[in-house]
Amino acid sequence: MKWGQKHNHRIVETISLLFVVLFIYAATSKLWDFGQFKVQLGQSPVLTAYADGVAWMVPGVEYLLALLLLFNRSRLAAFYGSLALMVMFTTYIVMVLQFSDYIPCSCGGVLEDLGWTEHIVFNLFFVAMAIIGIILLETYPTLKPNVS
Amino acid sequence: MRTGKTAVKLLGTSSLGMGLVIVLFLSSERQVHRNNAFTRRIPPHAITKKFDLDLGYNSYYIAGYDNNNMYLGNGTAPFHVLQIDLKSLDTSHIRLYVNNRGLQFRNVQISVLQPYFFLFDGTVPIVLRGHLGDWSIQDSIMSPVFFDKAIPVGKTELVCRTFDTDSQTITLGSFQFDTNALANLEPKILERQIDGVFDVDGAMTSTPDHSSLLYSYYYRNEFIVLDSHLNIIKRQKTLDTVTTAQIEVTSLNEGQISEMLAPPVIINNSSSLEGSRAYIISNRLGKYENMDILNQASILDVYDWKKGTYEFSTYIHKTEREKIREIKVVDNLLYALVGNRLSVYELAY
Repeated sequence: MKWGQKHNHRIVETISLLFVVLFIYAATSKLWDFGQFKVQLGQSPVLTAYADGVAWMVPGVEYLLALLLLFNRSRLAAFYGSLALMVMFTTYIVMVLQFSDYIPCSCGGVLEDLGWTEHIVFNLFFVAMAIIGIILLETYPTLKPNVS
Repeated sequence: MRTGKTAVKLLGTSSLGMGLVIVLFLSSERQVHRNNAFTRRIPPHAITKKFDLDLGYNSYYIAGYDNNNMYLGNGTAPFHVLQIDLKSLDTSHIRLYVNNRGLQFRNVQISVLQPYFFLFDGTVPIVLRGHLGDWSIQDSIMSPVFFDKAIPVGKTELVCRTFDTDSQTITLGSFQFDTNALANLEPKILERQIDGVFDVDGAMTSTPDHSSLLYSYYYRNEFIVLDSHLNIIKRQKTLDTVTTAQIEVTSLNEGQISEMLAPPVIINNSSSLEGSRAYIISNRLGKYENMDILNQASILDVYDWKKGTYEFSTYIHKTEREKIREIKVVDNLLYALVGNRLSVYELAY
């Protein structure tokens, strides 16, 4: 099993890295043009009343998760967090598409250029990644060096 | 054992995420749409659908009305007019020939007032005029002001909505077709509350004969009835209790661009004026009204401006996700543009 475990370890690290890059990129591009981001979020028909709080929380949580993903000790928890966050984004998109008359986008940077279907596929890919990461870590706890 | 536990955890995390967004959405919806301070009167059978006419496109708007015909203009085909004979329901497609093609038309609107049709674009700004039936342009003038909405109120006079640079506010005004006189602005009609641009926005419409006008604010509970010389006949409150526009405006790029910070609370959507009655489409829920109704219907509120009263309301049913873009009441018939259709309803009261 040695070889397999080494392999798994690599997969987990790759997934972590993907998430770190995604979160840091997304959060930074939001903060880069924070005024615009707040406007877009406020105009979103789904979260109107909570736009202010959400506008600060989303990039904050993204940075936090990116940080937690870097350490072996907190990685599993961070994967669960990432899964929850990606599920939330996906739910949000589905709701926007389903329940609103006009469709604004408040995702930062190049992600803004994605169509809505591509966006869902993109998100689902990351949801799958998070699930794979969690399953690997839960099945082979030895991937976490601090567990004997 | 272990896989089972992991599966439970995965499922738990996912549903937690989903649940949180759904709860936020529902409670946000509630705050935006619900107002328990007013109650509607909804008499049974106030409205009956007569027929639907498939127009093929969703870009039509109501350009006007003469004795037998309804005229529709088209936002994406600006020189096209659809004439609908209201008795036989025959439609004819009319193409307008405009020689001034060198002009940069950006926002062409057509308005019909017997025996003329007017074609104007307040961004040029130009007004063209021709005879109904003949459909060729006979006269044209450059307007003395830029405007974004206009209604002809006589053979030679138009009422318009423009930007008054003195008060930095959107203002109603009028100008003559046959003279070069300056426009006459009436800055007292629309009342500034926040920025004088977004907050005073509203729907401008007229009776079928253009003898009186209706301006209904989008973001506050008020409408104004005016005669064709822009004298205020009546300022009246609607059912709703929102007296101050619930909008937040922010400026981006160091004040170059103003944008709305949040979707505004829309109190009055489209409206129509006929006789002493003002008809206003609203999507605000009052007391005891079921939230689901907004998915199935638009709410029509009827007011009498001569008596200053709220008369009644009725639900206009529609298929999901379609919106009533525009309404026009002529006699006891209500014409509504919904999706690709013109729907005609009979009002019982």
